[in-house]
Amino acid sequence: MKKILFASTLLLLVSCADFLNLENPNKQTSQSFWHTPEQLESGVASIYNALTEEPAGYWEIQAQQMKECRTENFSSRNDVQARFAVSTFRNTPSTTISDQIFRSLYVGIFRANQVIHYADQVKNIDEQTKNDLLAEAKFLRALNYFHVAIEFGEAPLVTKLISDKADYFTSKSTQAEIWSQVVLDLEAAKKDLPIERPSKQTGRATRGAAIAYLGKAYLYQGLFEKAESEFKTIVDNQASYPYGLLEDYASLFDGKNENSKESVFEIQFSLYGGPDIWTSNQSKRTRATTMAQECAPGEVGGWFELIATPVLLQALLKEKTKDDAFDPRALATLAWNYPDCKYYTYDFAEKFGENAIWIRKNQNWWNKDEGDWKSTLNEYAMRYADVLLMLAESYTMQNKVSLAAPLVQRIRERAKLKDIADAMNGWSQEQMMIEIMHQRNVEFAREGLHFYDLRRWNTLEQVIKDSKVEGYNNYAPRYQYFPIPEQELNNNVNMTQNDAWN
Amino acid sequence: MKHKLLATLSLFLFIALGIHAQVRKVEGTVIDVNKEPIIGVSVRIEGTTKGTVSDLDGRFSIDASEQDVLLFTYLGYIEQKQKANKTLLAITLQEDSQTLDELVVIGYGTIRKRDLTGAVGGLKSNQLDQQSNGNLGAAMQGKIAGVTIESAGGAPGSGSRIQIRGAGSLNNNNPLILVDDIAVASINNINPNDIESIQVLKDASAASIYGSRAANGVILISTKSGKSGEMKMSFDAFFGVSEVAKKLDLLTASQWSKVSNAAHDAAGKAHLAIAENPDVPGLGTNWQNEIFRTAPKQIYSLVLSGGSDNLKYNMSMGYYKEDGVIKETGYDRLNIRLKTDYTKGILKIGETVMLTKENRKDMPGVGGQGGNVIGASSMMLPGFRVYDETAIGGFAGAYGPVMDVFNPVAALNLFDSENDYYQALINTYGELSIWDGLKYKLNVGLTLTQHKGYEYTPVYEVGSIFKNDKNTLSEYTDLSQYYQIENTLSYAKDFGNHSVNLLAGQTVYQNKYRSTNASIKGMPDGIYVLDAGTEQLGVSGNESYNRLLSFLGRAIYSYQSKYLLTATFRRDGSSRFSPENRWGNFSSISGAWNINNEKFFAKYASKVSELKLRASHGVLGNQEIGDYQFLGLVATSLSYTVGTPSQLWIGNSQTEYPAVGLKWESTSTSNIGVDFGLWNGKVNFVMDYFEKTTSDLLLRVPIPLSVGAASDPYSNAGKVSNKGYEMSLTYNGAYRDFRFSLTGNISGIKNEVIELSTGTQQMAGSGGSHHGTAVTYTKAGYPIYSYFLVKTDGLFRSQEEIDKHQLNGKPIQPNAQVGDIRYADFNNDGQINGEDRQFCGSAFPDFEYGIRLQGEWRNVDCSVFFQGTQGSKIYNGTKNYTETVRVNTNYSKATLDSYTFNPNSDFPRLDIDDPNDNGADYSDRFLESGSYFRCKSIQLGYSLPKRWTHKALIEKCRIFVSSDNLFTVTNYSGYNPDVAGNGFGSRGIDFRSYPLSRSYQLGLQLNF
Repeated sequence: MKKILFASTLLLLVSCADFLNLENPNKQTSQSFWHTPEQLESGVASIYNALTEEPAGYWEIQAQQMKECRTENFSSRNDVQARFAVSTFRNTPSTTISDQIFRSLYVGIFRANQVIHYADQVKNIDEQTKNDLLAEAKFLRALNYFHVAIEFGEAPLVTKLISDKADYFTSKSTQAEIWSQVVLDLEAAKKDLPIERPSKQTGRATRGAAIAYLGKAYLYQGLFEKAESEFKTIVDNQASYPYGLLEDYASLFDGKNENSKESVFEIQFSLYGGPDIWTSNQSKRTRATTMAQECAPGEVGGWFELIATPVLLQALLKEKTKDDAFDPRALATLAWNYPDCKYYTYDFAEKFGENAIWIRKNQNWWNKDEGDWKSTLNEYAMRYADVLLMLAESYTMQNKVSLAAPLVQRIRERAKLKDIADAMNGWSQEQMMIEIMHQRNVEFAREGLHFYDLRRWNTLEQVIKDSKVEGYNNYAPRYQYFPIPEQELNNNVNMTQNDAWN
Repeated sequence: MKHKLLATLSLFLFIALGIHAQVRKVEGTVIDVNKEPIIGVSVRIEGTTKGTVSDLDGRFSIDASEQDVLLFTYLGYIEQKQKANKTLLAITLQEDSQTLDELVVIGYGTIRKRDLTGAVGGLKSNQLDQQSNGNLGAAMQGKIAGVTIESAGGAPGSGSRIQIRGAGSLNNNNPLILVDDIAVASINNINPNDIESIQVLKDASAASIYGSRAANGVILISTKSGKSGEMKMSFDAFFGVSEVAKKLDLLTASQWSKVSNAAHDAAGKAHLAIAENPDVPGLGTNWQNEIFRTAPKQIYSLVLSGGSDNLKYNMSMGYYKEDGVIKETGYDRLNIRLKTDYTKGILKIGETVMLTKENRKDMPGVGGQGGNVIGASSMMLPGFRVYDETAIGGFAGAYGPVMDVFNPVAALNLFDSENDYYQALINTYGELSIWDGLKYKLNVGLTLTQHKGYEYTPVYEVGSIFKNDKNTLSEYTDLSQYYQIENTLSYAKDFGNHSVNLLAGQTVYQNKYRSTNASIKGMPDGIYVLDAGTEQLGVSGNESYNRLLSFLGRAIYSYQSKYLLTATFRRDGSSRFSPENRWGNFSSISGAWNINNEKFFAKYASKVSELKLRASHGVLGNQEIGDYQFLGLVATSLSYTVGTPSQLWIGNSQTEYPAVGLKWESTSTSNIGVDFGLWNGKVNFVMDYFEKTTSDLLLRVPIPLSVGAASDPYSNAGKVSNKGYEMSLTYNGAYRDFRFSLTGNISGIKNEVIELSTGTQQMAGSGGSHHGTAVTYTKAGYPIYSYFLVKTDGLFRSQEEIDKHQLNGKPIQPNAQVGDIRYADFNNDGQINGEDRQFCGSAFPDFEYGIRLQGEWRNVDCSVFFQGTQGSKIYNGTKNYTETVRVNTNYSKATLDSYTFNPNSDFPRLDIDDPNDNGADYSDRFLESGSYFRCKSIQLGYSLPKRWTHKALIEKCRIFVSSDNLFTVTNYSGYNPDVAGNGFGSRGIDFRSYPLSRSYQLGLQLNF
């Protein structure tokens, strides 16, 4: 009692200010952090983290499904109303998930801006390491702005670290301005990123990835000459950039050939991080994906959230191999009722029904089911096949069809299709584009590229309407992009909705 | 009255004569104001343990000298002292609850009720009906005007949520609760039998002595103290059973096949295999019957109390055990309490020690879209089986292209999830009477609460959708430590007509919290410790602190008890704010006028025993935002996988923006009230009107998404107003030997958000389905978290009606067919979507009320308590599945009468593709009236005649039967209109909450 009395009296005497100054015992503050090379590097890891993080990192399951469910190739199950609305062209500025994608992209940008901002104050760091990390942060910032440009069109451009409340309200930049920023950052990344990474760093951005994305950024803007020059840097420099196509298309997705020579930039998943796949507690979250569980059929316990359409199957079956077999890409992309079709160890027709079509690509279909929902199959962000076809497209659009032909032939050859290299040499620009469009569709189905391809080819509306997929009659030109989310409009006084959505 | 006068006169006489000691027999009778004899009154000679009790006719006999003072005590009556100067005494005891000289507990002291200037509401132990209630919140529900108590779910031990005078804040509307002067986080673990009285401080005047902690009102709970005299013992025991009061009307297997097939036919889709060929045909599995049960409960309570003039003690033990109406769930609690007061000279010391141990088994959350056991039981198809001996774990489950719903019976049996709570509450005080009314008091207390969570999931396979391939164990523990030190100096004195009561003090509070959490997989079967795990280890933990330093003062002045004035001031410094905004000042002033003490009123005084006008105004604060919000923090574990072979690359980054310049939220309250009493308290009426405005609202104001923050920082933005009235009326009556009382209260509040940051700002609340979009929003001009939904406008009855529903020649609902819902195109843009939401009401009722009747006739007593609310709305989330035939879950019986089967029906047509979006979760189709009238408790008791029980040395023996929630009158179609949403934005959203049960009890009370 005496002691307490004493303590109590003492409390009156100590400075009140000190008594009430408490530091957070859990976390460092932005003042105490960002001083060592290790801290800077861990800052870079957090930018990658945003790519796969909930609620809708660009390779997290929500965004992944949103990329495909708007195409003629896939539709969404109706249990998640927001995703179903997007799939059937009924989404609005208040639809969740598209605003989560928006948020996640800017989360990545905020993290990249921190690394770029704080790099200069880091002590005891050699220039090379610092430049590498800066280049990596810029690559990732460019990647996020790339996605801002292709998903939303016009949006705020934030390249500085915001520290004052007054700076929260960034006004809109044009899509062209966003593209300029993407190019600027990728040019910088290209300069300093290493061509090769030690095995401990597999999966992190390389110079090749920066070049490929730079080419892609030009291609999406219709700057074919510039695009060509970037892609050529990789394709015509086999010695410096030893990329290539895997011989067997199916082996790209069997989990045994991750980060192969065909991989230019690949999103990594593993069972590390903690036991919970559904948690907001980052220290317990498994760094895996539930995408395979999302796409698996109900018969094997899947959630059939993303459903392949007959339109996709038709496209995949359009051309048979020179041995009159199914295109290996059809077999690796989908499972359907063909002779001896095995899927999740079952006879397909017997287990799943004669008319069913299910996704095989990036599914663990060789197992009995998707186990405890965690899949470690990586996702391709940029494949060498993509680079080849984008280069072919760049040539074709500049009317250099004959230069495109051998590149398209490499893709056809791997798919064991008939050799039509000679014929292609004599094709018109239009003929070649039709072939490239088809090859891209079947080569990259389920990899989240098709919607944006259709849009830049100006065929989106026609393809959707012709396909008669669920909700096709709701389609209108505004669905080419997501609207600026209501949450941004309501809370950013300087922001306005994009024209198509007004 | 005459007797009393005579007694007083004689007393004076004897004192004057100074007559000397001589022991002889003193006899007499004890009666009440109605001249009824009181049985069992303790008659004791002051300063000794010598005593007796009054008999059946109120008579007593005791040997005493003329100097001895006799003490007459009886529960519920005012203690009376009487000098034994006559051999025949007639004693009239006044009932305690009816006196204006009753002391009312206010912050840091007590005050005579007639000197009170603020708005307070109170309950006595005998009004709690605690015999049938293990939960204090439930025992208080509906009994104090202006205090809203909602059950936090029907799970045993889940307790209540309390709001005083509406919701002012968007963070925290929990009142400050003090048990014997020490703050507790909730009242859920308190044994109601330990409660002596409860005071609720509602307005600023009453509460502002607690400053920043009091913005949501204050509840002061006093536990029972000992009384000097022989040791008394009381023992209560009761047993009861609970059952779920209502079940949902869902389909049998064959009915489900009919509905499902019709819905698939409408969409041109093949029938489901489980519809064509259910595993359990006919009635199928009734999943509700599989999870519900009639559950036993039992409560025991033992109280010992007694003491001498210097030392008083009261100790108790209580045990409460209730099984849940959902199988495998349950709760038990052990309470031990000790309270003593010791006086020696000018020093008084004492303490309250309360030890509690609780164990809870809640219904487990489950994977898939059933959410939890309740949700799963309403969604699981009746065609599926419960058990499958061949499956790992022994349970069958959903398979095929149906909704991924976990077999709820499997969930209850497979998952082992338990929570234990250990709490020690210790509060000590020492009080020094320094000089004539001047007192110093030091109060030192702490509460320690430890929570241990345990969750074990074995290897299982439930249907084709759910499996766990490794035994999984997760353990969690946290410790909360709360300390308080309070120094107060008080001075109370009457100077003739003037009476003052002054208080000054300084207080310090500290909260400290630390948690650890670990989980792992791969234990061999039968081993349940983390050590045995082999893979996927996950570890986490964190800690937080906060402190509050305060200075306080209060002055109460009374002139002839006619004119009363109270002024209060408090200055609080909080560690939660940055140094420049750390300190907040809170003050209040209030006055009252006791008209009945005026001379000009004297002629009415015989009838009007009380007439008091009160008015108050004051400002209170709120700091409930969590710790460290003003610092920019670097989050850890934002990791990524890299490398061959792959490894974890740990990432760190700032994810949120600091809340720069954050300051106190303040609530200003004005209150006017009147207290009115007739015929010496036979009728009592209290009315209050208040206006409460909360400004500088602490809230996470949404900032643009484009700044990239993981969540929004707090800022001071916005204003909320609550205006309301409260009335309560008590009538105590008697007819011959039948005595009864009637108590009623009613209160209503109008809640409105006046402004919210920028004009367009809105805050989305919660949804009512698994992946649901928000259905509640906070917007300026409306109550906090109101429903904003798209309105439905009946069904399309013909193609003509569909065609007429157009804008500029374009159909508004292009996919509609006859029998689909017509929606209102609120924004008039020619299409129906989330933008067409409009205000549809809120979870705030127009008014709420309680009525309590109590009667006694000879040895029989009975009480009944009704309670209800009117005008609230409930969003019935369960109907998102059971009444929208768009996914393959079970449906409600209403689907059998849908348009598909009955063209006159108001229920839309069935179509599994639902092209018209009849099942859109943002429509008002699922919004229902939440009004209800409930028989909350009813009790009938019988006390055995004293002449029997006295032989067994039993002072009182009472047996009773009672029932809780016997019936509820409501139009609400879910389990229960007293709805539990978890968060603030989800208030009024009924989504898979544990149903409230109805229970019946049989009990025994013994006093020795």
